[in-house]
Amino acid sequence: MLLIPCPYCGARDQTEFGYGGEAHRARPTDSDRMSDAQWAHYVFMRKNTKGVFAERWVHAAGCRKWFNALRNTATDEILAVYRMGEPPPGGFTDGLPTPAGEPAIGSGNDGSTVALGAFDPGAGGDRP
Amino acid sequence: MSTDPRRRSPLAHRQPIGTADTLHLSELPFWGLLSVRGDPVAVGLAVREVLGIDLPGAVKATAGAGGVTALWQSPDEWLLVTEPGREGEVQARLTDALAGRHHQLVDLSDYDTIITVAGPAARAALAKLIALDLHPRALAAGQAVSTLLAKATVRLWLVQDGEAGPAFRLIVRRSHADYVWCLLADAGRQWGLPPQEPIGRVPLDIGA
Ligand SMILES: [Zn+2]
Repeated sequence: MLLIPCPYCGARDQTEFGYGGEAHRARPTDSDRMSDAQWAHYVFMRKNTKGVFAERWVHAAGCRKWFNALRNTATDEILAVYRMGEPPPGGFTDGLPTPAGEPAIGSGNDGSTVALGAFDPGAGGDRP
Repeated sequence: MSTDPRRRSPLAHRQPIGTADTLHLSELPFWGLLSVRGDPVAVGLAVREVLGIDLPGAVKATAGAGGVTALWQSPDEWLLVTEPGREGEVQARLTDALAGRHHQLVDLSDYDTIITVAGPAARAALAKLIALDLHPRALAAGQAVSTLLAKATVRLWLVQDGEAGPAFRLIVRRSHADYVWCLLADAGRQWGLPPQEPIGRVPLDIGA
């Protein structure tokens, strides 16, 4: 169970919060010109970061405000919380790939690269 | 607010249980509850003008004057708790004072009810159901906080604390009220509270 520091209420039990997934995903402004594959990429594809990850939380049973957090997904350590609309604070690095220090390849660190290959959603056309 | 004589409180089928020298539960029906939202400065000016209250600006803080208490809910939201029957008058005066300012003012009196949990064992009984730290250093008399009690969202308000033990008010949703009541009775078994049958198993007289 995580103890999550709400920026407005202080540290509270994880049961009071809802999870909002990856933060800082801007909705495309030219969706009428996007291919189905590009739209699907925006709607469904998320990073699967092992390490420092920016994500959204809502303090559902408390102040009911949304906010952003930087969490190390390998250790569950919450490194920072900041308000919606603010950029993520810098200065946080992953450190070891995991507490056990296993190699990047095959450990999930390369998951999104493997899944997407060379596909660039901005280049147009369908995924190879 | 309703003035219909058939108005029925969410826990009208319950009687107070327990004793004041250990643990005591009762409902405070029909208290006025107004949610006010908006810019803290603009809303704060109106509330000070109408009620003489400086809106609390931080988590857990409350402020009261003249029988009305403002509970901090979020950086732009407060819950005004009034004695029964006063919410309409307070709402009307606040509406006038807030005219032309962006705000939201909603009467929630029929949406929630209040359960009092009082007596020397009140803190220990609530600690069985609430994960939050209830020690006086974390929640002092006059403070209030929104949290979870088992699966229900509640506003927990410690009205006073002293020789007779703490007196809490739990502001709970109408549809959660009986669930919370039964859980509190269970939590109080060791201090002599009688078991309470959940509402679905109680013949409910809904009146004519
Ligand atoms: Zn909060």
